[in-house]
Amino acid sequence: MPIPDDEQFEKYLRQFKPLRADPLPVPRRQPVLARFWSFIVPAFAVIVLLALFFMLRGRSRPVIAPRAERPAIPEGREELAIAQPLTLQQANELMAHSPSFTAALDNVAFQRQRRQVPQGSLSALTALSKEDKL
Amino acid sequence: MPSAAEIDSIERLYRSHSAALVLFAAAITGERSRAQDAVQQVFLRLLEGGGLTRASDLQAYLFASVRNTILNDARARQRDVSIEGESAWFDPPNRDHFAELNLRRALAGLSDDQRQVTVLHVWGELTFAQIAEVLGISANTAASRYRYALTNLRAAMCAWEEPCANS
Repeated sequence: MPIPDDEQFEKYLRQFKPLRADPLPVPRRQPVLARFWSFIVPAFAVIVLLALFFMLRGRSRPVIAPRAERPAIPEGREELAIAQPLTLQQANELMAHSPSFTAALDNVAFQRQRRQVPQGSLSALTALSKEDKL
Repeated sequence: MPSAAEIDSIERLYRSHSAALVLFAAAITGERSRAQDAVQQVFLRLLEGGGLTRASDLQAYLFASVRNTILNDARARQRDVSIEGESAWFDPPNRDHFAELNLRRALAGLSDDQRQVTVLHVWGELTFAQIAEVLGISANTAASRYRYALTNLRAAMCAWEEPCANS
């Protein structure tokens, strides 16, 4: 049986075509507009949530009017001290307006923040002091 | 992530070389499915890292990358090539599926070195210098292996007659 030369044999082999490969799963890039929205929407949501958080936080904290802006307390009303955190600024103000250090401390303890008792009512402290006098 | 133009060029590269690359990978692993995975791995790495610019000879680089990917897989080192039950590797001339099986049998009968050189030269269309680069051997060794491979392949296939009867 005659055997063809190398060149002919190579030609014969090349007639066999390798089978095609499966398509490549290419990760496609998102279009620019889609990328823009995919960034903007979560960012906007975060900003809105932060804004809501700070708004609610601001509402729940009582606003303390500065000493000078406090309304004058009408006669016949008493004030009750309530426990509120003292800021450095408020402490400085009290020290500046008080005649002595002891007076400033008294102010801090009893007069710094006051709640007005409705007219015609007495605070428990006043009622007790009246009973003592009797 | 490479640009859209780079992705397009990598896809073109895949379309033009993937068939030969999968065949080369199958000649090493003996399994077309694993060969396909290895080739896709190489191209997906290219898509992630954009490493095309580093290669001076792109074709040789791709074949070398596929070979390295397979050899890095420990299972491949311990596996002999077997075509039993394996799906077709070639689209045969005149739909001669018997000749296709015959060629696969003959290829499987070659040593690993000879089979790789044959596939790289005949279907990968690499020169012996490029084959030398891919396999890490000299060009003379590549040419010598090819000559032996061709002789063995022809003898094996002539046992089943087809290529010899034409001459």
